[in-house]
Amino acid sequence: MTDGLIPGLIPWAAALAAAIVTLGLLPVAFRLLVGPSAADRAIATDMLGLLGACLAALTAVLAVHAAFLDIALGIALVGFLAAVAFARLMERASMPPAPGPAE
Amino acid sequence: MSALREILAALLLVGGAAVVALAALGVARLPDPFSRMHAAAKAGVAGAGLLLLGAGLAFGTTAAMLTALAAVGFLVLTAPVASHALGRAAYVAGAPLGAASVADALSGVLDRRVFDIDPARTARPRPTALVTPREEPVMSAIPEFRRPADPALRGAPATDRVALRRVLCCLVGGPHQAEATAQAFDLAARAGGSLTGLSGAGLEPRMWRGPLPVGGAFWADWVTSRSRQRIRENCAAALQDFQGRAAAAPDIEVAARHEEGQAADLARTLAGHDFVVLPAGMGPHGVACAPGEEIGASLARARLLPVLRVRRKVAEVRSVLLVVGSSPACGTLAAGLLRTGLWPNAAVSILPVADYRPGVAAAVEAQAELLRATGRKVRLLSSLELEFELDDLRPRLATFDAAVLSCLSTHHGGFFDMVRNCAHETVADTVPIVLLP
Repeated sequence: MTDGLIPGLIPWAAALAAAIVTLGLLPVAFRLLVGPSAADRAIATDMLGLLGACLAALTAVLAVHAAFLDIALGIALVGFLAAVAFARLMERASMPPAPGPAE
Repeated sequence: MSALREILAALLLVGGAAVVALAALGVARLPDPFSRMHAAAKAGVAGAGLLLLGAGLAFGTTAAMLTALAAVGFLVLTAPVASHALGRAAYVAGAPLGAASVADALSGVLDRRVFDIDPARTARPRPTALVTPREEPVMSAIPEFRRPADPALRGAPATDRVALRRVLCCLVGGPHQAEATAQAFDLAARAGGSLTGLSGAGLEPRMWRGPLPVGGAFWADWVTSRSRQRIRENCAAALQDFQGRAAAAPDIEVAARHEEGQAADLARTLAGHDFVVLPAGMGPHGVACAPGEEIGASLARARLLPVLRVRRKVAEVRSVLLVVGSSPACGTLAAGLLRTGLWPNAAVSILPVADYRPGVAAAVEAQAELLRATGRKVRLLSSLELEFELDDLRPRLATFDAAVLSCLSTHHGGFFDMVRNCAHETVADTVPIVLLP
């Protein structure tokens, strides 16, 4: 694929896309560290999985190795399972609110 | 072919990456967990899908394309399920709703509990105020203005036997405000009564009460403050005009005050008055609007006080038109007119609208009877068809100085907008003074 009709276009685009996706990691990391509630962190983890899948696909393009596309598929699968597991955990383990003093 | 494929692949790669980065930004910036999830699920999956398709296209082999398509299909199938489960769990776990959320459709359906390692935390309730109340600039600089009538001139006998002694004039601005103020002074002088100018009444700045996108709160605030500023400029001009006229009319007891509030609060401010004078065509947001949405129309709908809507001042009303339609309120127009005691020497014409409809002919007869019994000159006009032409009606209305209506507008489009004209709106737009008893 490097010997395409327009040499260097696809690696260049993939590198640019990788840079953009890597920039996108920063706000997600912010939300993961700061996120006031547990739900925020779960969502950030979910989003992190998506970004990981994107980066795996870009690695496949940059390394000219189609096997990394299967890794993207795997990351998407694991991300789904992780999201559902988080959801079950949050739903099962939440307690009725303590009867606090009336405001 | 191959060049086209490569260009498409490059575009998909960069575009997908951009969408994914925007989704990541949304996860960081949106106000509550539910809207963050919305960014992660929709924009994230769209961007990742585009990027994966681009990667498959970049390889150009069938196997790579199939793998990419499988990944995209899997994402599209599972992301809604995952985010639904996460959203439900977040709700149950007591994640806070953002201040911009309009309704909590799940309250009472799902329990809100607490999920945290720290047992001392409690579920955070949804903020009570939809729009955070901020310090509104209150216009307190205008003191209430009050001036008793000049006792030397007070004894002047009332020329009209008007039962309305305490007249309220709404100073809301607009093209007809000066005429309305003049008419109110005229009325109060004839009745020998008192006149109150109320500026800002029934006006509220335009507010956006829906959900807000990121950055939308700023623009909503901007629009509201622009609207408030325009309302206050209108009111200030009207108030100045009012005070100028008050200085020129020493025989009337005059007061003026400024009170901002919604149209719904106007009823409270009307207490202690007998009669309201309003300029025509002023809507509740300080801009002109259709007759059915005016402040005067909502006041008349509340049926608290008789309302006089003025387009042009008429010194001596000689002919009055009663428009009698089929609504029950149309049967009491004559009684309302007599109760106000306005225009005792004017000839009254009664215009039935579609008198084949039930009740119209009887209402016309009864009101003509009542008016004749009080010594008024009454003339019955021929009935107005529902499908009248504007050009036919307008010249007939030109001879009348005032009209009595039950409401300002009965406009409805009908089936596929077949009904074009509304008799009430036409009368309200043509006759200088409209009384809504």
